[in-house]
Amino acid sequence: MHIPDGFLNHGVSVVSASAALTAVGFALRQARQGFLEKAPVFKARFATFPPSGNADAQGWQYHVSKWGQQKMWRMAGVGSLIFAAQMVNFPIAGGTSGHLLGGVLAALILGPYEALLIISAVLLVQALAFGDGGIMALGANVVNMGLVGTLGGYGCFILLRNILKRYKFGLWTSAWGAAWLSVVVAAACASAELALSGTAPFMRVFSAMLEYHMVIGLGEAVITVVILRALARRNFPLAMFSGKHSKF
Amino acid sequence: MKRLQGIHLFLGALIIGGFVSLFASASPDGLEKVAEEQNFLSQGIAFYKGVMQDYAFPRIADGRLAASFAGIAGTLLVCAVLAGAGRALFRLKSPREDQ
Repeated sequence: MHIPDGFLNHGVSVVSASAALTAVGFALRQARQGFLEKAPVFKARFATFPPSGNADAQGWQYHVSKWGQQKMWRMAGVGSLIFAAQMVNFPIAGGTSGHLLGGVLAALILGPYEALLIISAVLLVQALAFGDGGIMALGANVVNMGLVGTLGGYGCFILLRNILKRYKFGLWTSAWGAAWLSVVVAAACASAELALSGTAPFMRVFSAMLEYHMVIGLGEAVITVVILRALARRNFPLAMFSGKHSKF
Repeated sequence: MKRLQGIHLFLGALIIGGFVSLFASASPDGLEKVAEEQNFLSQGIAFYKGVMQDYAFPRIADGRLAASFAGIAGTLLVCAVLAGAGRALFRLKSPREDQ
């Protein structure tokens, strides 16, 4: 669902690019804390009288925690996995294909803010190296596939999880539902952008986009749940099991 | 079973990008199909075509090999971008004793 250059007019491109920049900047700020830990700083002391030892901290300092270093490599791994998975187009009915967007998948593995950074990096590489999705439309693509899938998808997952938490497969059902919904909402956003640019009348492009993406969403949901379950079985730390996304 | 790490996901990504992606469907995706049906596909302009256009590695005649190489190159690129950004943003240093 990468929008190429020329589909959007300048106004929509600029507005969506600034929205995407704001969101990525916000995500950077939010994600930053998850890498750092606060540690006391002790000053080297020579013998004093009375002896005081090193027990009293002189101040506090943030540094990258062990967990943060591991998380950095997990982010790189998840990012490359999502890039590779996006290359695998699966056929749906009527000579059409769809591919994974991965926003919900990344958000449920690493938390919404880290996921937004990952998806933005994937889209950046696709636009710059492969010409998949336009340069001017990059902001719109980050909004559609990144922002909707990660922050929106994670919020939707939390809502569904709280509703379904008494059922046995509530967690996986909510992951499934969030993934499906993220594709449909992304398609709706894309058609709104196309209509605002005057490329196509809203109702026509909206109904056509939804028709295809409701089916593509099923593929996205299945891939998301299969990968999440495979990771959970092998003890990969997943944000979806924790109430606190900031820890992941 | 041994606990999975980020590196395992990266290796899996290399396999998917280099091999599984060869079996991807070549049909237009949802947006392309809609654009085709509603006659605005021709509005697209590619003023920047990218280094590896249409996921084919440049200067390799064999289509499958080119696609496979492009998948591996893209996977490496994403990993490098994310790891590089992480390193730049959160300079990996051991905690210092002094301030």
